[in-house]
Parts: sequence; structure tokens; C-alpha cells
Amino acid sequence: MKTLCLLTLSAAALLSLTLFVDTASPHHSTAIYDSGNPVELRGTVVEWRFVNPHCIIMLEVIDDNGDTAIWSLEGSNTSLLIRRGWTPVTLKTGDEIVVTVRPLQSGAPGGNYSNPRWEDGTPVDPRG
Amino acid sequence: MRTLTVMIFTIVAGLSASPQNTRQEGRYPDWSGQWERIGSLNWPPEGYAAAGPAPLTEEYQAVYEEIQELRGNGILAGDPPATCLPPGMPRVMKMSFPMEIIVTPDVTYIIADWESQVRRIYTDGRDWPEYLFPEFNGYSIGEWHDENGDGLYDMLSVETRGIKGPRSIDSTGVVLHENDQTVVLEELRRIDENTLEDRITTIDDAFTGPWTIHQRYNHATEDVLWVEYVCAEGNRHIKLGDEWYFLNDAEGILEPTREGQPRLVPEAQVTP
Repeated sequence: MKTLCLLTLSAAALLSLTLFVDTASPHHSTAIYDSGNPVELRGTVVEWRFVNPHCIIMLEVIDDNGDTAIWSLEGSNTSLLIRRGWTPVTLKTGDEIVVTVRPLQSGAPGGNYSNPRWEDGTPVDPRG
Repeated sequence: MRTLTVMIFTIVAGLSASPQNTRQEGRYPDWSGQWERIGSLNWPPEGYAAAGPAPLTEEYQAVYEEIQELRGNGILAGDPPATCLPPGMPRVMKMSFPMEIIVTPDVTYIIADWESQVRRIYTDGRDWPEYLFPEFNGYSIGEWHDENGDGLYDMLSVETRGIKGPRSIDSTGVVLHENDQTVVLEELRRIDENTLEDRITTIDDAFTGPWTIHQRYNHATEDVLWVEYVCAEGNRHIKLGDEWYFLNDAEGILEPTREGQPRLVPEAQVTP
């Protein structure tokens, strides 16, 4: 039921990811993430926190070896997402989603997410 | 009797010259509403690519390069707000999120959604305090000006001192000098109905000279809402000594951020 995987990004996805990369960001630099090796994570939402400075997704992911880990993922902020129609219940525990992640350089299960999608590929973002 | 007359004259003269009677409240501009940053989150609103690099001294250029190297290894150096410290002056005026300005005769308040910060700019004619208690936003004294001579105030000049560190000018790794002797000079004016401009000059020993930018803000008329910002709610970045970690509270551990760094697992979770 929790079919999860780590995927290497396609060229198109990589291009869309670059749209999120900036040399400056509202809260802090994103230079610490491994932007050169983004991954797509497919997993189950354990918790969605609609808070600042980042809206947090705790995502349960099973890797190719069958090992399970909960990824701690930070993304955008409530100020921006409220204006795009997001709410504290946009995501719910148990939702199956796919996100693009710039992972921690340590390889630990954490990082910065963007472009969350439902399993059928439609954007979670109400404005697409 | 003469003494009494002098006393009464002095009191009356004092009253008529008091700030309360010379404020002329109708002279102050209405800068209310919501103002949003225009331009880049880089300190120069046009971005470093267009404006050129920060005017760093040789010493602080070396600091900048060291910060880039640390970040390349997963260490979030040179960006104090990453651990929920406030941006401080002048970075708070970059307004990552919208601001509100409340003008009163004695004080102009600048309220930033970012980190729920408040600046107080005193315009009551006070002098600098004997001791400036260091604060991230410093201590600001302002003066109103009537630039076009129409009898109304249209420009607020501000000087800010007593600013506490650590601070960076933006998130790119340009940090202000650790001596915290920064002086920030500002000129705020509404350049048209929808645009406010803050000419910000930063004087700091990390820079080769005064560094001026013209930061503009757009008067928001749609999607006007104020959003609470409590950094402790969702912050992931934890600094313990010289080590940085990434909070994974669902797992109850601190994840390493750099290669070769061990996870920090609470003793209670460690299986003997």
C-alpha cells in the first residue's frame, strides 16, 4: 500500500526544479542542499504542518531495499501558500504524494521539497 | 511678584513650544496599508548578477568565501535567521514578507510579518541615549522633511545605531562585521501612489565604504492579509556547538547535514 521509491529526476523535472533555486531565499539559504542531485520521493504523508518558517511534510518513504524512513522535509511558507489557496488540511495523514526533493548532503532523510503532486501527477497546489 | 511673573511666563512659553503644540498632526503622510518588497531577495534589489558583488573588504571577502565552502559541505553558515534569530537591521527592510507602517507624530512603527518584527523610529526630537542597549533592529531616530515645500511632510530620514549581531545582509553569505558598529541611514519617501522607496545606506566595517540601495515596496491592494510568523514552529535547523543538524522530530532525532557526521539520537532511543 505504501509503494514508494526514490527516482532520478527527468530532464524536464530538473528544469522545473531550477525554477525554485535562488541564490537568496526568504528565510535562509538553500545552498546547503544537494541541488545537483535532486530526487523524487513517493511516499505517505505522516504529518503536514502548515507553519512558518517552512510548511513541513513528514513523509514515510520505502526505498528500493524495502527499508522505511520518515523524511523530514521543509518547503515554502504560509504567507505564500495561503495566497495560493493552501490550508492546514490541504494534505492529510495517509495521503500518497510525490515531491521533488533537494536532499541533505549527508544523505540523511531530510531536505527541501518543491512541486508536490498527487499520485496521478496533478499538482497539490490549488493554482497548479 | 516679579519672580511669579517670570515663572508663569516660563510655563506658558514652555507649553506653547512643547512638541505637543507643534506637531501639526495634519502634516504627516498616510503610509498605512500593506507594502510588499519589489525586486530580488539579494540585498541589491536588482540582484547581484546585475548590481555586481557586495563591496566587501579583503578580510570579509575571505569570510564570504569560507562561508561558501562551508555551505558546499552542508553547513548553513552566515545566515543567522536560519536558526530563528531575527534578520536585524538593515536586512529586515528587505521584507521577505509584507510590512505595515504606522505614522504617529512621536514614533513611526514599521511592522514586519517576517519574524513578527517591530521597528520604532522616534521622531519626538529626542537625542541618543547615553547607553544604547544592543538590539537586532537597533535604536532609530528619525526626522520628517517637507521636500516639495507644500507644507506637508513627505520624507522620513532615519539613523539607526546600537545594532546587535550576528547579522547578514541577505541569505547569500554576506555577513556584517562582528564588531556590530553598523550605522544605517535611511530616507523613506512615497515616490508615487503605489510605491514607497527606502534609500538605505549601510556603513559597516565589513564593507569598503557606505553601501546604498534603493529598495522599493509596492502598495498591495489585492490579497491583503497578515500572516503570523512564529519561527520556532517549523524550523528544522539546529546548531549545537560547531555542528549543524536537521530536525527530524517524527523520528525523534537530529539528522546530520554534512557527510561523515553522525546522527544525534537521544540516549533513550539507543539500544544497548
